Amino acid sequence: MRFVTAVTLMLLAANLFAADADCNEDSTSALRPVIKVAQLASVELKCSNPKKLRGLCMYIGDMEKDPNPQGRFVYKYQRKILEAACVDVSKDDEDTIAKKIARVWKENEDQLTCDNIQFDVVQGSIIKFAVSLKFDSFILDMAKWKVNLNKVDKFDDGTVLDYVEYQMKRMKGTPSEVILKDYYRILRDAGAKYKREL
Amino acid sequence: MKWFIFLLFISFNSFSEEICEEDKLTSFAKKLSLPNCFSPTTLDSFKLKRTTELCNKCKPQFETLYNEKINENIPELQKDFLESSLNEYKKNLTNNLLSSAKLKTLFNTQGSFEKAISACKMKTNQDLLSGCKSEAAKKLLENNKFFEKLSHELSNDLAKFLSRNEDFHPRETLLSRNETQCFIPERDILFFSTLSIEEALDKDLISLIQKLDPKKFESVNDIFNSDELIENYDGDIASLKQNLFNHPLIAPHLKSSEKFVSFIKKISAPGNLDNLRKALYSPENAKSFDQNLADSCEKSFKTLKENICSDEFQKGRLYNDYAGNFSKLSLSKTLPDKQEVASTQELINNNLKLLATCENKDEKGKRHLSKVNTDVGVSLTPIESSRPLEAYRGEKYNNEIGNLTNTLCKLTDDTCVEGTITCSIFKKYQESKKPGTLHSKLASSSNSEVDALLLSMIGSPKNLDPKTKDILVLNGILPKDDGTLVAQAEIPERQSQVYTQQDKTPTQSSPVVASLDKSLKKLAPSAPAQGQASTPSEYSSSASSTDSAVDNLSEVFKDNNNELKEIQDEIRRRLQDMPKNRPVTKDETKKIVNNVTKSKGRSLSPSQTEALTERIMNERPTTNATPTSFNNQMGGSELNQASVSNSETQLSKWKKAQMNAALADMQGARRVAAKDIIDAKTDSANKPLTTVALSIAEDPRITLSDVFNDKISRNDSETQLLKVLVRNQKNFILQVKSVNFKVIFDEKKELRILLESGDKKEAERLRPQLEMFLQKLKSNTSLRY
Repeated sequence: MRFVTAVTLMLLAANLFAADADCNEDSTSALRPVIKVAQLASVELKCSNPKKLRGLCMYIGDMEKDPNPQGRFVYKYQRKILEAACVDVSKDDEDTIAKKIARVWKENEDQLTCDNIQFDVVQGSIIKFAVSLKFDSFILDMAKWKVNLNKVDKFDDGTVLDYVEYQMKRMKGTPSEVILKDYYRILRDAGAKYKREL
Repeated sequence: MKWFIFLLFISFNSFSEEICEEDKLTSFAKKLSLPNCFSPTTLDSFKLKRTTELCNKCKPQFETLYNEKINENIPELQKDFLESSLNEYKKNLTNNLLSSAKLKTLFNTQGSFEKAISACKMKTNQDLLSGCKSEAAKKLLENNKFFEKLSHELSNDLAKFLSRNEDFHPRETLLSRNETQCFIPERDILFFSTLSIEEALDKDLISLIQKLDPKKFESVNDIFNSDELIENYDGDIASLKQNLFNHPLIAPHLKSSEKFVSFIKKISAPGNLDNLRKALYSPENAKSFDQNLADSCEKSFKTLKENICSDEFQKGRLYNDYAGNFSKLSLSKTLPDKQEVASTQELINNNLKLLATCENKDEKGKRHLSKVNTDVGVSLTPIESSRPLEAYRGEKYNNEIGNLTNTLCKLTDDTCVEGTITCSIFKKYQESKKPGTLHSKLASSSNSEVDALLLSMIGSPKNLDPKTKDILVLNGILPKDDGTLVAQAEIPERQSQVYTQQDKTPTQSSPVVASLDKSLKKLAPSAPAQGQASTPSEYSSSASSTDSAVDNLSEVFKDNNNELKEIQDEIRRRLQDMPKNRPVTKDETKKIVNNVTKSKGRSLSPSQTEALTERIMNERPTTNATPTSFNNQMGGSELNQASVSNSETQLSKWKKAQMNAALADMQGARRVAAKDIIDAKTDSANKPLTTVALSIAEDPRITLSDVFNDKISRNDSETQLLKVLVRNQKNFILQVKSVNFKVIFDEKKELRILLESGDKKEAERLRPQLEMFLQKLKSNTSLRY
């Protein structure tokens, strides 16, 4: 408890001098050691940097590659999500990464929507957006990280599983149906439910 | 040996729990009998086309067989290579056509597209084979009508975009339309979305972007994700960025942060909509678009030809990268389910194909399919590039048109979120449904500078089916048989200023707008004139009508237009039940009106009852309005039937007929027409047909199409009579100017227009428009002006 209080005080002090400091950015060299300790502690306690999640729809929509890939993480959306969850790819194992990301996801879920004329759900969940794009990698990541898959969007009044099912009907008999069936299975196994099951 | 592999497989599986990560790659691997070669790490490597681990583990199992079979696989390698790269070429051309088709509905740039017209001209097999040294390529392309088919598909796509006929569904297209909840013409979708995108790029944002140093950003996405922009933009900037890609004249500038900032800097201060459009629709920007398009077409074809005709192709020195391309190659189609070992020849072959990836990867002097595909599909996005052709067809249509159509169909005023581009498009769409609005007319206007480009892209019209050809002729893209183009509705001053001013004050002060407005009114006087009947669908939007009784009626139902529609439908239903051997009188109609409104719990004043009665009576030709010949021919029974002509059965029949017509080839259609002439002559000898004289006043400033549309809008007595005749599939003689046409319905109830007497040339000119006009009359659903 004392440790937590001390860390909180350190964080406050650091923030006074560096309002913009986030998980990866240092501000003043004088405060660097203090900020470093505070950052490390904050990761342990609760690290979330939702600012990094901004513009996620763009990176997904363009399948933009990361010019500085980290291991298996080769897309820019991955870097943004990892940064938002303060993941250290060199230290964190897959379980820790998943836990950190699932938590950040849950905290910011309402903001993780896309509005695009190519996307048929107005302000719909970003996972539905990836389904509509058939962006395999993102779907696999979502399943692997076990983020909440059961958010209901206002526009279509359904979860991502409802959306996949709707798309499967729409694409019946086309090659896209095969891909969507695969998504269905992946998402179902990862805990996705229909709205009626919630 | 098989048992040994099987046991090895079982034992390996028991130690690797994570192998069973169920995704398509795993199932693919299982199908290839190589499931034990995959782990989560190698799966990811596999996705990234780093297949070393897979190769190290699995290749030894097939080493001997591979060495034995490698030469036998050459024809198959060549076939797969050719098929895959030709498909990428198709996708690239489709993207190019779509960008150009979008331009057609926008403003003139005062530029020309000379480079693209030359570079994007539809190629022929001969173009591909001339100078080609590879005999294998020649053999594979022999008797392959690839380019003819491509030309046919592209023309059908274009005709689909340009046609307002929702029942025109050409079968052979590159882009396929799935179900949509409602019909919105494709070109309207493209038009409204591009307009809304421009409006969303506001002057403050433009000013901010102009100040940015592009070198500080890795990509255009990073610019839009910067604090400077996010904090100073009210809307959803990520959404804006994504939507900008859909604008044909903005998208080419989004390739890098430098290009984008450089373009935005060209917009004069203040960077308002007017100045944005001046920069967008400038000859300079047109030149840039032209260059990009020409580069895309040129590079795509050049790469295709170079590779297919190469020495490496001939010798089979090809690296097909089946692992990276498996969804694009026939490999994935032929795999049986639930096979865990390579127990069939087919599976063994597929394994060998996959392992060819390992063999050839780093070897120089081979043609790499992935690289070739990337260069051939130069205009494709990464997602489009990753799709096999069949998947691309459906997805591209949905992304560009289908999804937005569905969204607009679902949106309501309540769910429309102010400030979003979707909402802005929705409002434009709603506005366009009001007859005669500027948006509704401009959505269907022409853009001659783009027509030449489209014509070049679709190639020779000789293989088109008659319906597709007619539509392209009517839209002024293809020349008529005499070589001249059908004049399109000329919208003067289609400059960016028109829109800016019109947006502010549509009918005031600006001489440009006034002239435009005047011109549009001349083209389509849409609001029903005093005392004239409106079609039922106009009830909900007839606020501009000067008929006070109708206004009163609308006022009564202003809270519930559906109720008014229900009442009308019920009245029509009861009229249909009336005795069919005599016309229904006005008093009888009034009585029904009274009964129905009372049964629905509504009470109308005498003047309102009168107005509704008049309206219902006017929907059908009354004894006063109907020419004598009509009465003699049809009596009263058809009148009653006419009032319910929008029944589902008739509509579906017509849809089917339309489909058949669209699919019929030109020669077939001519043969049928020739037979029809003989039949018609025999038929006419037997009994005299009703003759309807259609008065049309042609004006050189407006097209024939608009003249006919105008007649539909006014719904005059001639039009009403024609409606009754065509909906009841009655043969009749139609006099248009000096030409007499015989309109007949064949065994399949398809409408045919034959020349009875008069000037052949004039008949040829009139016939396509006339056919569309009559088809519209036949179907209520198309009466949307």
